[in-house]
Amino acid sequence: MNHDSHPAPGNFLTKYVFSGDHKIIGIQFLFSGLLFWILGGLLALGVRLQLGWPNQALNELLKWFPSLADSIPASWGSRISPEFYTMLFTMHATVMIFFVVVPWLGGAFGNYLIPLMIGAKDMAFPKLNMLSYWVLWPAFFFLLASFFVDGGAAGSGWTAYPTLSSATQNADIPDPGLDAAAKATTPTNPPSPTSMEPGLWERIKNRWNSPAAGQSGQGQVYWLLALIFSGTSSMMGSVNYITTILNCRAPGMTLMRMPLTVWGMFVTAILQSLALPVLTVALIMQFLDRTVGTVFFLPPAGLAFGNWQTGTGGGQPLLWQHLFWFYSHPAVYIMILPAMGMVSDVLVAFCRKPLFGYKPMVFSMIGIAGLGFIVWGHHMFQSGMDPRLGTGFMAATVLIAVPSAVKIFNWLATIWGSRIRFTSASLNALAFISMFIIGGLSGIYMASTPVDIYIHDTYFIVAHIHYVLFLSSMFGIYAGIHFWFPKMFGRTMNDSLGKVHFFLTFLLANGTFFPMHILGIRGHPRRYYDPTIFDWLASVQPLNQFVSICAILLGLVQVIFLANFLFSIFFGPKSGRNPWEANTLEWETPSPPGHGNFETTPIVLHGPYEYAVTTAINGRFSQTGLNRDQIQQGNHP
Amino acid sequence: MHRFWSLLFAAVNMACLALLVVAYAYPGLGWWLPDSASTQANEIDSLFYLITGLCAFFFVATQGILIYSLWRFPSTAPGSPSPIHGHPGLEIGWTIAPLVGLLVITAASLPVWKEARYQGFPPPALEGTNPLPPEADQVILVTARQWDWHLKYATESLPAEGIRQWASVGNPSDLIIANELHVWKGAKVSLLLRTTDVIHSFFVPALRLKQDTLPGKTIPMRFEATVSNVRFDPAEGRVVPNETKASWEIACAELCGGNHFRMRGKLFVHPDRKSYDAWLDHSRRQTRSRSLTAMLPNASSSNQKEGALQ
Repeated sequence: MNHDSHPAPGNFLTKYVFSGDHKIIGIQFLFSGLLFWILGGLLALGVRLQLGWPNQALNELLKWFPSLADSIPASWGSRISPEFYTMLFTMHATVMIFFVVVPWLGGAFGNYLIPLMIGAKDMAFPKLNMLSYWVLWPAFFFLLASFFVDGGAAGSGWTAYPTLSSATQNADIPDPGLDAAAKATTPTNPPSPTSMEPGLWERIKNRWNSPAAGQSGQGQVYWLLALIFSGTSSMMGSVNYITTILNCRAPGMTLMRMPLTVWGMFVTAILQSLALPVLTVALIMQFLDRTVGTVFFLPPAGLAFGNWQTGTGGGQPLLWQHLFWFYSHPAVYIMILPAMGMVSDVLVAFCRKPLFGYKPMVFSMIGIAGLGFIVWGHHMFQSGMDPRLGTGFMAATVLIAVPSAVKIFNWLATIWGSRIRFTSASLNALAFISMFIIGGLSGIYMASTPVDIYIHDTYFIVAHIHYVLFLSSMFGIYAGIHFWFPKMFGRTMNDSLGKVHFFLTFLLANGTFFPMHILGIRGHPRRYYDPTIFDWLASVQPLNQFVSICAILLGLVQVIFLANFLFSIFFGPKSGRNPWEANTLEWETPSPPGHGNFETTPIVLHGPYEYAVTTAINGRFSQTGLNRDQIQQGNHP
Repeated sequence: MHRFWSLLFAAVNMACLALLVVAYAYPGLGWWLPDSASTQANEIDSLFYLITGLCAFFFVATQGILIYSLWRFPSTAPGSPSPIHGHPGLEIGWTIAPLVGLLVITAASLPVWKEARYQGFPPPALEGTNPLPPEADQVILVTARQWDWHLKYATESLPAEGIRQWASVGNPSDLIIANELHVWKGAKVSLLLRTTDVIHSFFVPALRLKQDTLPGKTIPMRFEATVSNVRFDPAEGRVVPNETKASWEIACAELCGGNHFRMRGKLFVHPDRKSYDAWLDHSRRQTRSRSLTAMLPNASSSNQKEGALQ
């Protein structure tokens, strides 16, 4: 690609704000993700407060923070309202998935690492790359604004199943008032100032209101808009990554010499570019159902809410579930494959041993991605879908466990016979592997259709998704941040603080999420405001309380990480080009790399994982074959 | 210090395992599967234990190797790392081993799934066939709405071909009550599930039964209770707990709005048909019966529309 058309930035604004440089864009994704990570964490703590101490949490909280009393709606009495609670878990999942993990893995690490690891000067399309970040800002706006609209932010779950999310007050009942107001705005009939007084905007918003749930009105509309924009951002990123990886690799960087991080990003980008349009279409369909009265998800006979009825429909609520999961199951892999790649790179650098089974690792990633497209129905075994479909989806789902198991075994074989250096980065990577084993095994329960009848939509699912998303992906992200922080900011994070953070997070995250398996085995349904009204769940309330205490401490412990991260940007010890003595190309550039990344175009001679080479001077071959001193001096021949 | 990390991984994993073992070994804690009271429940529980056994084996093996490696191969250990890049035999071995385990699970799951779900499919709304297996002893129409369950019990026997008609219109003598599912031990029960507003999910933990209700569809479901927990006492005119003292609940398992958690019902399994009939007669005489169609003005027209689509 033509990088001469992408000149070095001239001033502060083009260098740090509207930058086309993949490294700046990556760091922008990292920082905005960090802010939403804090928001998402606080929302989760709200959920845990209610579940640990149903109906008492607010009183307890007010004892500690009496100044909050004024901001609590009088209608709540002395408790969190059930509607507010549904908002909490809906927005927690939405924020964490679409505004933290996906932007961090794809946006931050993908942007930062892909060009550096394949020896490119920048992304193939720098302007598109810039746009992919700035398109997120409308999404940020709609997401944050939704907390302040009438009825509050969306509350129909992050899965937004119709008809809870899509039913409207007046699907096809004409509103003469609105028509009159609309006519009044046409040029032929200039409006008098007073005729606008009732407010066209107010009436439009009222039309969005939902008979099913207060927050399914305006909050849901804002939610849909936020997701449409964040999806557009991911789409632009994916197209760019695929093009860059296929066209911009340095000489000698064959596909089978790419580090697994790049493979993870590559496979993810393909997954995303194929699956995301389906979600976008589904979101637009629901948006139309909500705003202009289409009936994509309204059944033929319509719905009755008490004495109030919608008009007739002609759609099918199940359609949403198919479209939604066709994206959102691959999204699970979008949120784990890059982390798998990053963990492989981190692990190998600290094991000082070649990755065991490079090709099986690559093929298993491709296998997971390929099978990932035909397993979405396992989210719908109890949805009312024809059970014969469930049988087919069970078979596909069972198969996808095989490449995941292959990856586990290859990581274990990589560690076997190595010499591990325990650093913050390697410990987080090792935790990823250990926790992914638990998350993978608990997934088998759901694949078995009959067992899923029982555990579907219980806390067993909540435990499973958090073992995969928090204890796997997040540990992968922690490992990645510790590992590539020196490249991003030219300084290293404090390793002792990093280990303290790891130790506490590892303990508390297991304390938070493992007992959820027990809750699920007992049958505790998810998304329950107050489980204590059920006799058969009374016995697990102590566990719920234990989980809540661990979760609150887990949240507090993240302050250590945040402080370490922010402090180290300015005051951490300076790192050289290659503090970890790793082989891949990014470590041959200055820390942080300048515009255009490489002083001279690197020529790749070796695979990424040539460690424990007895014939080499430093016991390893870097990918360009340069030795330690040549790299430290930036002395490219 | 490096031993510390190996021990940490060992401690955390063993604590997780220990929690499962304690929850299983001490049923008094109420941290394990609830009572199992249907044929399907027993089969699902067996599958659950099969999967748990296989998972426990893989868990101990993989975590064991990981923890041992952390103990045995820190950077301070003598010698240098081995330069091995891979081993085709091992790759084939550890591809086939999990595949075999997974195929065993699939093979064991298939008959249970078929037994639980294939009867009555395709559903009547789709193809107009008889939704019920011929041997059904009891047909109950469950209508979900925000936020309770309405159960319609037929008081006279229904011809198989008249089920659809009954589901949408009903007989005047039908009993409709909220949130109480009455069956008798050994009865082959057919449920027809539907909803008037949003998606709900009919979840009876003791029966290991869960099925979403889907707007616009009527979904058949079946079960057979194997344990009874109540009997009808004619003298007191109500159901009383029997010697098992078990209380079984019905819950909603699909988010259906703010009061999702309040959709709480009860399951009553009578010891025999006699007790059930006595309860049904008594309840009907209580004139609690209301016509479901009166509450659902659109129900009969909805049926015509569905029919028109076919």
